[in-house]
Amino acid sequence: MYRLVDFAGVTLPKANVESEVGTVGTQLALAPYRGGVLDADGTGRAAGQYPYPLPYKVEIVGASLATLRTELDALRALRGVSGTLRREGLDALGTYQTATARLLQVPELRTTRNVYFHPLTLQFLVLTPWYATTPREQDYSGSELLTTVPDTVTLPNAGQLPITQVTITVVVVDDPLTEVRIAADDASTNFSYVNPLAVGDTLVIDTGAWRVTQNDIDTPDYLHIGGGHRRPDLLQIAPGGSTFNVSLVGTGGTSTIRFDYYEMYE
Amino acid sequence: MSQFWIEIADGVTDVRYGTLRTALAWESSDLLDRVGSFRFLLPAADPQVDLLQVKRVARCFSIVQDEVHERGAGVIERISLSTTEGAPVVQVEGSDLLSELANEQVGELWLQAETLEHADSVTVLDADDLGTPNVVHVCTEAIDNAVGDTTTYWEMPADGSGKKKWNGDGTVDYLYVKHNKQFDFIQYRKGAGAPAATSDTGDYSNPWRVQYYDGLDVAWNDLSLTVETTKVGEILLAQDGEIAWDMPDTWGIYEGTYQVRIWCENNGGSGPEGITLGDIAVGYVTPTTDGLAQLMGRAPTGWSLDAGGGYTATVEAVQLEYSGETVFEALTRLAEQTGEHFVRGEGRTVRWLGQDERLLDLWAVNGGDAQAQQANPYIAHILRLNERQEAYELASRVYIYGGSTGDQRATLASTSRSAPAGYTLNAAENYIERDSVPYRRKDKYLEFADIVPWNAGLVATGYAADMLFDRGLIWLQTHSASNLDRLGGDQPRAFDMEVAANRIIRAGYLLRTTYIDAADALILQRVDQPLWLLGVTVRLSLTGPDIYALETATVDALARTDAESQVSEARINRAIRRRSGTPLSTTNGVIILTGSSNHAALVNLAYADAGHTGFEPTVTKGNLTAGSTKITIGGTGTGAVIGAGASVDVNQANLDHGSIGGLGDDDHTGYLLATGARTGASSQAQTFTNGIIGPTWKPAADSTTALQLQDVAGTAIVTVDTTNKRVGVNVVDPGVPLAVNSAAYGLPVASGIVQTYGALRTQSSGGNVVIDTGLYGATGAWLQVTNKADLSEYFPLLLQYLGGAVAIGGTPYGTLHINQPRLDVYGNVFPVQRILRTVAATNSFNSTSVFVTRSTGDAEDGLGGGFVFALQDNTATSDMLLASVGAVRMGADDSGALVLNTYNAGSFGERARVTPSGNVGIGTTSPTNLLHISAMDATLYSDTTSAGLTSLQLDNLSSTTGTSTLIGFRTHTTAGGITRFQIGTVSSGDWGPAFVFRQRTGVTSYAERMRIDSNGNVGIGTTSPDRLTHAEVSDAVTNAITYAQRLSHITSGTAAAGFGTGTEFELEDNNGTNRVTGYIESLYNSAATASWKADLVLKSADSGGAREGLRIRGTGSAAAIAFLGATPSARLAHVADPSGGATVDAEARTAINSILATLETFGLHATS
Repeated sequence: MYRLVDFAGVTLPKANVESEVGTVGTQLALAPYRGGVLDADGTGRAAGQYPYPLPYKVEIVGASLATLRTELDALRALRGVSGTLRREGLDALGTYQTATARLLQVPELRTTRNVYFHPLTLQFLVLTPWYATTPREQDYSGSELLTTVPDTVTLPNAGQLPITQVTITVVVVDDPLTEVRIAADDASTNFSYVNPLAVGDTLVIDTGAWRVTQNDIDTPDYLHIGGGHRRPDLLQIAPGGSTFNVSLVGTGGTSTIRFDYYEMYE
Repeated sequence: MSQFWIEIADGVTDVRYGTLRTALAWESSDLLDRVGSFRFLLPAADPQVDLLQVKRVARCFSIVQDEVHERGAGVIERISLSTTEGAPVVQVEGSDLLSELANEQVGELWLQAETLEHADSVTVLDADDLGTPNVVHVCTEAIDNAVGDTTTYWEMPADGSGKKKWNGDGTVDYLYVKHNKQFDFIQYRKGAGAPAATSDTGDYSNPWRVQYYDGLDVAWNDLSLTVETTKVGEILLAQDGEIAWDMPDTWGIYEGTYQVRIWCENNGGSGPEGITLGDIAVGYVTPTTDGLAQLMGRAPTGWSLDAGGGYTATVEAVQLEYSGETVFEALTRLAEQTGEHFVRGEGRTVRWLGQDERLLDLWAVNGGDAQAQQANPYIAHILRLNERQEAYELASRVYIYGGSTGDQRATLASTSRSAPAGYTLNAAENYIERDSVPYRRKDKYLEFADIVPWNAGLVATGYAADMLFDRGLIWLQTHSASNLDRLGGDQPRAFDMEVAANRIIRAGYLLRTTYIDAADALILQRVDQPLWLLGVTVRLSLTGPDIYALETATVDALARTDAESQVSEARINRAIRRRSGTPLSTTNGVIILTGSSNHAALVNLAYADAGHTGFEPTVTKGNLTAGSTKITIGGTGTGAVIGAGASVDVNQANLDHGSIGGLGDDDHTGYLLATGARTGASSQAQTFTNGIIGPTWKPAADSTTALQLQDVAGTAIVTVDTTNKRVGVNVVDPGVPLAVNSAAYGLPVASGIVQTYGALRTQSSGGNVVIDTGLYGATGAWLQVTNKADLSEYFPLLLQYLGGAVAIGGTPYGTLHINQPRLDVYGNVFPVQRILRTVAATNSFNSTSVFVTRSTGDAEDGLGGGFVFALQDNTATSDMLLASVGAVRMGADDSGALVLNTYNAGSFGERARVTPSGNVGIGTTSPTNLLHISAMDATLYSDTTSAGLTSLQLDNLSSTTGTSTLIGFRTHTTAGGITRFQIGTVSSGDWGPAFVFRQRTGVTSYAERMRIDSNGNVGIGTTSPDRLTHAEVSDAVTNAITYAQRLSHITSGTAAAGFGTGTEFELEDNNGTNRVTGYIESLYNSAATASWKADLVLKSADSGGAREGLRIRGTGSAAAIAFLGATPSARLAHVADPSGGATVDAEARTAINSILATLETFGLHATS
């Protein structure tokens, strides 16, 4: 279970009397995971399908009609907006994940029982997977320097979804490189950048955008797809992690390579 | 989201009527070599909707990457009304502007060039040049081809008048003109100064004749003139003009030339006085690259070539005939013929793209994040990709025909082209075929009606055949495939794609495409190559990115489907035209034999009769398939022969083997062209035009049977020793299984393709890399890996790639073993040698190489080895030894010293060493300390010069005053810091540096303790000593003494009274002799440890010796003092005070005496 924290910068109401998950639950608005490491018993899971609707029950409680109205208007102003939705896991308080979502509906239902107590079900449409808020940085430099060609790196993925958006940064330290190749053992991933890289050069491959820059200059012509490559994307880190053979081909030296990516959850 | 607007203009004047800014969507296609279309939607409520009229021009513009671009333009052809989301919408459709080119015809048009060649390549003779010629009088004078020239002309010298009389003597004279190309007209320019031809009074009632030489039947035949403008009256060549004729069908080539002659048979009277030739020029037709301009010259008004964006001429020259095609059809035909392309440029321009393969700097991919890729101008995201399943019709053989002129038809028969690798050309049967296709042969009949020879001559039919070949080959290449695997193989593939891109995409470019659709190991679709953009349809809308629907293919022209092909061929079919009066010739004969018995159809064929050169019974259809059928030549008759050059072909491609019978004799079967004696082994040899194959005997002492391939002279080329199973190439007695002999030897050739000195080559059909071996003389051999197509290119030689040892001279001791004398590594690029070891460690020592000195005896100290450095120069090419670095045994077999050795004038010596324990010795082989510098130098030290040995020198070469060179000492480390001391010099200018002693007093604090300054003054506690010695105390004490100096004296004996120390003063006297002139001494008066007391003595000296002046002795609670060598007294008793009574004098006296006595004890003489 998790609670939705805020949407498009607006803090969402917290109260939810319908959930019975102990003292914490009575203070928080709750929603089930579609399946996840924080709470694996999510219901209604439809893995991998985006966008998906997310109804979210909240209760607006105000000391006066005016305050209730103000909070309600703030929510209504978000109808139709596409923004960042943030959630916090109940089993891991303080751990947040974000997704891009659109707020479709804020019902106008009014109760006559208590004018200061206003239950609502917000209808979100979640457009993207949930991303960890901090990137994972796999930096192969210093004591982790790759010394053989090829060398094996294992990119961990604690998320639930395969990752295809990885920023690969190669910095040439003391000997030039002629080629940077990344391949899986079965060559299902197999691509290379073939162009001389001088000492001090920085090569950045953004696998999501298929953008390749050498010293901030676009150089897509030097990115080559290997014969056995059979992925529509350049690279994919499966849940749990994937292993690749990284070849920094040159005259030796201590060039560094770094992989930056965000783990994703359903 | 796109911001786009549409401008409406007049279709004729191009006047702009207005702009539509409310359009909901725009879609237009930009097609390669074809006319595209456009469509847009406009709210019916837009007041500007009145601008829309059929045949007006609509142009769409948008801003892409901050620049305005035309996204499409066309002619409005249909305006309709529909409803979108309940609102009425106007839909406007039409064709691309290129469609205007289909409105006008090109008419009758030959795309060809007429070339005129003047006298420098035309030969004018005054006698024929045929067969066994008469005496040939080639015009050796220059024939001027300048218009209006008045000074130079050529006359045929014939009589005294200087004018060539054509017929004045009653004989026939000819003017011969010849050229190396077929020509169909002559331009004639009369020479200046010639007499008026009209003055001639001859009888020219016989016609003038222009004849050509027929090389086929060796005769002169009349030409049928179509133009003749040189006549004046009866006289030909009397004025400037042109003579043209229909090209004869049978004008053959005679010795590479074509000739005509002009003459007239006089009927009497005086002939023309002569002709003067200003210029003779011949003309002929050639293919042209100017066809594009010719076609555009017939385009509708306002259309032009986009010279800035494309070409203005075709890359390939063509010769085509058009007959009523539209300009657009003609352009497409031209593009198809030349393998070139065109698109519409900006506005009403045609951008001719030639044969360029221009790669668009855009990459279409289907992976990754489409949203992120929107910001990447180099990536287009593929939204959809479908492969066309009916992209082409498959054919492996095409029969190709051109248009017909009635009596003949263009075929491949006289093409000069040859088939590229993988294809076969059969000109006789008029087809091109792709070899090795993975399907049964599929034929296709093609007709290109616009390819028509302009006459029946060999040149014209040759050109037509070449163009037929070109177009047919292109067709075949795009319709056949040698590989048909599931993912396409090499067959042409076509894809319809939809991409989103933040860029302008135009047809005619190559788009780098990577589309992969896979599930686990199964690859459903994989495209990773540049694709031709054959069609680009852009869809602009108010929301979302620009979407392009792309028509792409792996080839630059999609083949027509069956249905399209038939429509097209029907469209281009045209009436058969007759271009000459030559009757149809019968070229095919059919003999039909009836009845049930066998018949002989071809009998009694005469050889070389009536101009025939032979009989060619070629059977192209109606095979002899029955086992009993045969063609009999000779039979029982006589005189039937198969002559030299004739051949018998048995085509059994689809059946079992055929045979040619009757070639055996009484003891040989199937024995071809046997020559020589029929006995012995050599008689079995087969002699061919190019050599001999047969057995030989006893090629070597240990062999009795062999086979040989020999050249025509009988020299063995390949000998197979069948006794010993050995083969020799240019070796008749191979001693090993394969022996190769190269007569020439020398070092490998470094250029060209002929490896002159190579004996053996290993090569692969997969590339040009070869490894050659050979001998470079009597003393060596070589091995070279190179490019067989360019011997100047070299490749690596991999020895034992997979592992295993290599030994040179001996069996391998290690992976690479090189026996005596040594391994030389030569090179002229740094580094000549590199030994690299890759390790995972980052902060530990990892040895790279081991150098071993191996002794056959028991090692003792001093055994070792190392690197020796040497030089060679232009005067000394042997090694001049310089120095060495190495290691030697020291102390034990597993203990060694690192040694540095140098050569000094050729003399070797160890200069430095690091011992096993880590002591470093310089000048000593047994350093006893961490750094031990030892020398033996007899040079005497000088206190005023540099003489003397300097064993250690420390430099700081900075020119800045105040900088230092220090030696540091660290003696102890604790958690709180490191105690340090430094001594060294501090510069004070060019000369006289100070020598300082500096002490670390805290973590970051230092204090200088002593200094010898630039003047030689020694300062202790001061950095600026004022005297030779200057000790300065600097502290915070205000009312107590802080001593600055102490002199001590200790003894190995037992100190006693008189044991002391002191300071001497020395002065130089007037004789230059130093004299000790004063003393300050401290000495014991008593050394008893419990009651010691000491004197401080001041002495001054004279020539007689030291004179004590003052002595102060510590004794008791106060000091005692003595002057002039007296003994200091103890403090005296108090002198009683005078009482002042009657005894006052006595008391005073006593007191005074007592004082005097006391003064006397101080050495003051108070008494006389």
